[in-house]
Amino acid sequence: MVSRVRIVTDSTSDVPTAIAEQLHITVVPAYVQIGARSYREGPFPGGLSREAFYAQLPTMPDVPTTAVPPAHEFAAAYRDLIGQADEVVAIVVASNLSGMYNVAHLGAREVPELPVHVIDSGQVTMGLGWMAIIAAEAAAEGQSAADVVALIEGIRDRVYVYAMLDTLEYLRRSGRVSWARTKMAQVLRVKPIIQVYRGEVSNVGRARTRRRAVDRLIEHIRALGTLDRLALLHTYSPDLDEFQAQLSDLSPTAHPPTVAVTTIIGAHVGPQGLGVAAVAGR
Amino acid sequence: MLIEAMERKSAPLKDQKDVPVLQRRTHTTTDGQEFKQLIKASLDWLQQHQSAINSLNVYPVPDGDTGTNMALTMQSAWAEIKDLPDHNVGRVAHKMAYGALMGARGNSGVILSQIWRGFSRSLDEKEVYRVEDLVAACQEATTTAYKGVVKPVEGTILTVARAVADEAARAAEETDDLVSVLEHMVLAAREAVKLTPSLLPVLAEAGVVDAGGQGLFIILDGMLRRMRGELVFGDADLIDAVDLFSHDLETVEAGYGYDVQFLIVGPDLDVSAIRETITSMGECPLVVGEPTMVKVHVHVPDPGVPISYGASLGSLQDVVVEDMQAQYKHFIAEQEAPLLPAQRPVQNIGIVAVAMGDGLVRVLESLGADIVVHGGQTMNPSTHDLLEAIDGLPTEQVILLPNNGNVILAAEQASSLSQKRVAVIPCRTIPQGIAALLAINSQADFETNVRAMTSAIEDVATGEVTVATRSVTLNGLKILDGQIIGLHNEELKVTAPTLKEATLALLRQMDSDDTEIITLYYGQDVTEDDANELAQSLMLDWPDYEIEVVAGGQPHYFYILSVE
Repeated sequence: MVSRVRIVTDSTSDVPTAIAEQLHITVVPAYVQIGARSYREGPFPGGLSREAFYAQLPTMPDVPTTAVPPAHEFAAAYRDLIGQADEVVAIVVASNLSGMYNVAHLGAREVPELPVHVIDSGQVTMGLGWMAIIAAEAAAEGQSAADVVALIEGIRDRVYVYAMLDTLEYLRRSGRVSWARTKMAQVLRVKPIIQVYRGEVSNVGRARTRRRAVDRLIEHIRALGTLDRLALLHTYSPDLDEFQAQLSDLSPTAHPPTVAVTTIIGAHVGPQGLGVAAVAGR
Repeated sequence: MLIEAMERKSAPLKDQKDVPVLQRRTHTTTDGQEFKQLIKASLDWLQQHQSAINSLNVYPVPDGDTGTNMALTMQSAWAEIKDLPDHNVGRVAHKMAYGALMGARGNSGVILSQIWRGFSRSLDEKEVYRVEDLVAACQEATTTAYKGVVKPVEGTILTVARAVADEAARAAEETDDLVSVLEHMVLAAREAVKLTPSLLPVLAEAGVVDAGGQGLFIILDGMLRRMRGELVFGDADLIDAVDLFSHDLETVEAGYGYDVQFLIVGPDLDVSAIRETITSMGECPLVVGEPTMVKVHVHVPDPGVPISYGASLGSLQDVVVEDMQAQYKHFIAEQEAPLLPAQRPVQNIGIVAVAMGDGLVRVLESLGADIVVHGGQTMNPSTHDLLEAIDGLPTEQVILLPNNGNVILAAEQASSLSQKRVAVIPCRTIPQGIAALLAINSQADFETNVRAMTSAIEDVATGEVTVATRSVTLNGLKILDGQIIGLHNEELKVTAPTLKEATLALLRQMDSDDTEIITLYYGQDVTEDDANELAQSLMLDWPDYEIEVVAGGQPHYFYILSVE
């Protein structure tokens, strides 16, 4: 039986375009606001390339801000699936970090003819991306929407994002994370290591040198045990190749996807960050 | 020199013509009240020799004054028993040992407190002690002291304690006279102190005997003098001063002015007159010394007053002025603004650190230290200070960062005394303490954090730039008093005519292939401009490194450097 379930996610999932096309994942773009201009995020018409974004970030006169798309853009995405799908599972960025979950819901109300299940991933970037991919794989196997929802809710507690930020400054400026707003690390420059897990962004370590920060990051990844999925994340770091090599024995596949993190997240973490999105084994 | 002087002063009993006949009678028991007098005498004698013992530091750096630490430890011991009417020697000794334990500061002070702990435990509840009890108590004291140190080192106070105990046992076979046994013990202590350089090469190189061992010898010698009926201290004024000083530990928080310390050196100083004047100036006065050199310590609202007075009498040395007001305000501010949960990355683990200097305190707090106990070089916090900080935290688990080699034992002692679960991270420098703090993982449990923090100490190399406090030849370097010296991981490595040259030379030694960041914590005697100028030259030498300049505000040390 042909799959009649389709997956929708937002562009902060960082699902590589080729994979999204292959698995028929619909990606709704978020917006990034730089000064007076608003850009659609990602490889979309009117978009801003990520490489250009990160190169400009340190010298941008205004702090870039991010915005969720209007609800009707989600509605449009759902509407496009009428005829191809009987049901839709929309998996979006962590609800306590963004209003995306709300907008995905509002959009669904505008399309009453198509049942839409909206899931709060509690994740960002490829943490969310892996959930969308795993959902799309299950849908492609012909699983029902209820089964896909149960599957995704079941793996949510095994999805982790870890990242090493070159500086705490961007996260602090963003005001999104309470602990980063505090006086912490204001006296000495440090490189924080953050974890995103079940919607919470926490500081799980810090180091003064980049080499040590990367080592700590890898310790955290290693502590997860066997991994079902692994993706490398970066915001254009000079030591990306070295990082890839260091992770080779942890990756379940020979060539884990490597993505430049969405500018939506990148605006909050700054350039030269490194990280992973992982789904831990059962 | 010191030892020769001692030899003259402790000439055998028979050479003294004015010895009362009473002293020739066999002295077979000591009760609690007599023991009190012995402790008082040892304290007085120790205080008189305090600066001489301080000068026995191996490194000519303003660090860990053994004489001061041991005297403060004995001061606390005496304060605990001075009003005790009890005649039971066991109970008096227990109280005294408790006082020593709580007041213990510096490594020698901590070992000394362990000696008394073993000594008192052996006496148990005895009414009086006899020779055989003294022998057993000395044995127990030695065993306890050795156990109190993770890696006992010979050529230190430990070796002296053991020699004393062994000699006491030997002497007891021939007599039941306590005076005679104590004479043997003092002689054995002196011989053992003399031998310390042959056991510990670093002492031989520095041309000193072990300061802690010397302190123990002085303590025993003070006791012997009292038993022989000699006056250790006939000066009533000085005894008053000592008593005033005994309140120092309790009242230091109430002073909130400036803590002023200096030495007056002059040809003909009137110690009593100086004491009277200084006492009238402020709180917690301590004036001790001799006509050629007087040590002054006082808490005053205006530090200029005692300093001008001192300068009018002679030349001043080792002037230390600390703003207690600022520290107090800082402490109050911290109390008034409780930390937000978000500012405490590790919710159920409290962190106590030790540091001196506003800037360093800020750095440690910004990285998660809940309480920073004032102390470090030259002013080691007592076991009691650390215990108070540990017990003052709302958490049941506490990690303690001594940040100084000479604070580690007091920290371990405080750890064992607290009801809480306490771990001491053996960090010996401020950069090591900072590296340990950085390793905290809010997701991990206590043991994992302790492990990670302990291993993080290795992540950083520490440099310290200061002034030599005396002339010495060490590590093949000829060092003159007052010269700028540089230490790499506590080892004396460079000396240079200027601060900048010394710092650059030291950093060149500390540099390695892995270096990414050099941090300069500049002290209270360095201006921000000077520190920035130095940073500029570092950037020229090492364009690839990140250079960070931080106001440390520490005394004595121009720069504390961290290379990682």
